[in-house]
Amino acid sequence: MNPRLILRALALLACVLANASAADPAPRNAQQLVQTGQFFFPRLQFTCTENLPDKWDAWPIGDQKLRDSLKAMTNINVLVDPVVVNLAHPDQLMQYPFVFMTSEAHFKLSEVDGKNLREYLLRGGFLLADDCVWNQTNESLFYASFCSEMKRLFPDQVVREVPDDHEIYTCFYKLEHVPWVQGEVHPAMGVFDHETGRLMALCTSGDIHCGWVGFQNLNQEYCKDSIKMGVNTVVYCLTH
Amino acid sequence: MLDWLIKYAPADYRAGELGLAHPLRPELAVLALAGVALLMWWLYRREAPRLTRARRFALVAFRTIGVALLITAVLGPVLRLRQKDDASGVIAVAIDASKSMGLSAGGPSRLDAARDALSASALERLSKAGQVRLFAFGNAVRPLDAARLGALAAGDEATHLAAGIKDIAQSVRGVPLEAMLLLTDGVDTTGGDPEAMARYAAGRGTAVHAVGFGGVGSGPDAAITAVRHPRAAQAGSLVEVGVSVARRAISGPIEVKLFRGDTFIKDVELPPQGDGPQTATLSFIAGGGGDQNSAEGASSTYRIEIPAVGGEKLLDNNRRDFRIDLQESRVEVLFVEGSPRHEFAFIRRCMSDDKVFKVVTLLRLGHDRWYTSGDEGTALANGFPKTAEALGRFKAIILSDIEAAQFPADQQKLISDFVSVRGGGLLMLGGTNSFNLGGWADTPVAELLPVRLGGASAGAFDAGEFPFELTKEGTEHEILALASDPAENASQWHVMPLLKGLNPLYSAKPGAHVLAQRPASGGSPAQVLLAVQDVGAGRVAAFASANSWRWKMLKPAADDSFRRFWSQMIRWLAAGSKELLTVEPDVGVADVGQQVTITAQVLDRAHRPANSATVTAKVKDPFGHIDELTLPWVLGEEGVYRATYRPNDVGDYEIAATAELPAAGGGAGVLEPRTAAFSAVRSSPEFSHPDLDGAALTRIAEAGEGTVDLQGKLDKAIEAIVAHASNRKVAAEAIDERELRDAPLLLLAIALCWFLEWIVRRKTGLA
Repeated sequence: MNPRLILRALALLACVLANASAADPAPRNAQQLVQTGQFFFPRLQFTCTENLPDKWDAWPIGDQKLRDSLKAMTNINVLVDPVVVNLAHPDQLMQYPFVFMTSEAHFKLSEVDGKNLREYLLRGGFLLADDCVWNQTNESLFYASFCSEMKRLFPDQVVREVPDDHEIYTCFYKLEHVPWVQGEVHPAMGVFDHETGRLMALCTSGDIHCGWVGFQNLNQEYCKDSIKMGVNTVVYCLTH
Repeated sequence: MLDWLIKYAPADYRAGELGLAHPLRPELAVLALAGVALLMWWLYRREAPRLTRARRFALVAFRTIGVALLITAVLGPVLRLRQKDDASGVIAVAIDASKSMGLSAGGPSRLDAARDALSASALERLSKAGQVRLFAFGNAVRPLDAARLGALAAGDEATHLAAGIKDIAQSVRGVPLEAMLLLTDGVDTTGGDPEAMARYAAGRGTAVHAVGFGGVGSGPDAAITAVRHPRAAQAGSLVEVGVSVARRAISGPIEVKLFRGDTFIKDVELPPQGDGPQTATLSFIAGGGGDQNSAEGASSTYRIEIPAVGGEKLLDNNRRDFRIDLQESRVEVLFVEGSPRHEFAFIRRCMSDDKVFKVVTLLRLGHDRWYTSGDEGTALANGFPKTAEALGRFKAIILSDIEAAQFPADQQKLISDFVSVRGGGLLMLGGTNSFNLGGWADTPVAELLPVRLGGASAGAFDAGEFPFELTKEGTEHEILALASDPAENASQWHVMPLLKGLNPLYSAKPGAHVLAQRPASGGSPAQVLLAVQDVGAGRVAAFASANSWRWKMLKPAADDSFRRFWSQMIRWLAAGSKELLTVEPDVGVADVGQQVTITAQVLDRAHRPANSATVTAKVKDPFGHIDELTLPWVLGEEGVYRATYRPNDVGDYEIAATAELPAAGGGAGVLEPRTAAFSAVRSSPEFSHPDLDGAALTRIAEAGEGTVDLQGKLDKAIEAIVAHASNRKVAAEAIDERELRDAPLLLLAIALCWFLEWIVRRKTGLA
């Protein structure tokens, strides 16, 4: 065999292995790592404006699966017990610097809820929001509400798309852009602190939460990416 | 002619007696004279065959007399005149010639009033008590002719009242200083202690009388009495300046303005109140835009100004210049975290938002997998630094919830040296892998910590809630300063949200300071929450809780307590950190002509003081002219080099210091240059306290066992001085010693002896 061809084949194999390593750098024995501070993954309870099947409490099994993934793949000390925090109860909300919200429906926050959410984020809290796609129309109703509500609540902050080179896509797993599982394709929308540039809230339109559940009718590769995005978001929150 | 030869009038010689300032015992003098004569006789033994006995005797006599006269001159011949007059003591009258004496309340100035009071009749009355000697004081003490009293001007920039009393007391010698009469407005602007000096004078038998001029409450006035500011600040950091203002007869608000150069930065309004002191605090971004003006200011000379208010006429005290050196380099902090958690994110966030800090994070994400940020190079790609040089770039290290086993023994030794030798700061944060729970007991790092590990402190992590209670020491410590007043500070901390998660630490080491604790409850003793101590050249802190982020999330977004606490904590930790070369003038703002001392501190590359370096400082004046100074090592001060400089013009002066280490020991080479600056102004502190300080004058008079009059009247003082003089019995005669060493007759006599000896030698053929 031509030695030059053998060298080329070995180089190609090395590149493939290197890329595979970069794409999936999770430690093999993450559970053996020293785990320290406690991390809760609470679901945010809020009021939807439409009576669609999946409201704020859509598919809690997705949250559970992400918690399990965090526990398996990182050294974050994740509490697996489900926690629900109500946006109307700020004393409860402020105990958890990270919250997750999702729904199929439009929503419009009341004056009190809006004030609570604004105060929560300005104090240092982080909100991950995801559009749970309503299968009948495939429209991103929740995503649209999130964008308009954030612009209303944060006229003094920066509400804009999250660029593909943002650190949230590389801080643990390397992702090219925001993952998409189903529904309309929109860029991830973020609320940024206008002084420090810190990402305070992130909303995805591609139903990554259903990707965490791993429904069989969905593309399983997309589901894996959605898990990675969930892990990255939590790591970003705990490091920035 | 005779007067000239013997220096004083013959009558003085008749009245006085001759003596020596350093007398010899008579028998010793005779013995010495005989010895000199015998020595001379012996020295002429070789020439004896050529000399007649008479000539040899003459030669010995001339030379002996010459030597004796020479010894006499060395021992200080004096003419002692005995003063038998009871009124021969001195009365020193000292007039304040500082600028504040030029003030007036519509009529004559204070100095004019003092001159009027010191009329011819007053001087005559005083002369009955003793010889009156006039002095002026301000910048310094100087004698004053009575004839020139009218020409005395109130022009001195300062009032050295304390030094003035001392100098006058020491300047009168040979005759007793019976009394000192001070005519002044009573304010020592130099920080001296006039009371102590008056007590000193009284101890020497001199009564100090004070007569005050100026009055109190003469017209509306707002005076800047003090400005407190940091000498240096990181560019972009938040700086607080405290301004003390004294108001009088002004009922409305007072506006306090801050300028950088000529650029307005911000202002603050002092609310209306009665006469008395008030304090304003102005915060601004050092070197950056102000709250109301974003223009960049190149100058770091600042000015506090109070616009004229309420018909104010005295405006000299409405302005104060000061300088803050801007430092571009940031405090590099290494934040090592065991795993992602909220505590890490919140503390890192508030440090990153503070422009003073450059935070480099090392967050463990897995086995041999580290998340780094803030590190431009790849120095930390493989984890914690492995060399002292790599670690030495940081000024503080935070070990946050990470176990000891992560650090091999040599790295733990590095941390220990980083603190004790390099002067770095170390903070251990609470968590399930900190202190005992992290296996830190019996390690070099445990020796640095201000708390004892092991024993009762080896218990389990407490996940419950608890209050953060300040100790008395904590209420006044800079780390915990949320308010300048300790009581207000304690009350602010009292309402802070409860913390959660605690490492059990029950005992602080001797020398450590416990600043906060979990109070004792339910039979459980109090536990250490925050303790600090100095170790070697560095500083160490232990914070036993794991969830201080609750102070941020459970307080309103606008609350600054969390950021302030952590910012102050890191600043405190890094304060001991030593640069290899530092340079600093002793003042930020000097008066033109004032001596400025420039001090450099030099360390070798092992952070030990270097006493053999070559240190130079180039001082650039406002016109660009550069003076190069060599800073010699100060004997007895390790690594300290010092020189002085005198600014001659108003403006900013830049100092650029360089140091070259010698080849032997510590690593040769030129250290990174350092800069500093100061400004020269023509200002006067004389108007900060324009009122007559009657209380101070009263204290001076009491300490000096004299009288005081605050109405500008000399009568009381004169009566006391005269009464004292009339009652005085001179226990010992005063003696006026007059030097004769330079009397021409003495010098001529010595010369004549040598000349006569030469004549005899010549006639004999010896010369």
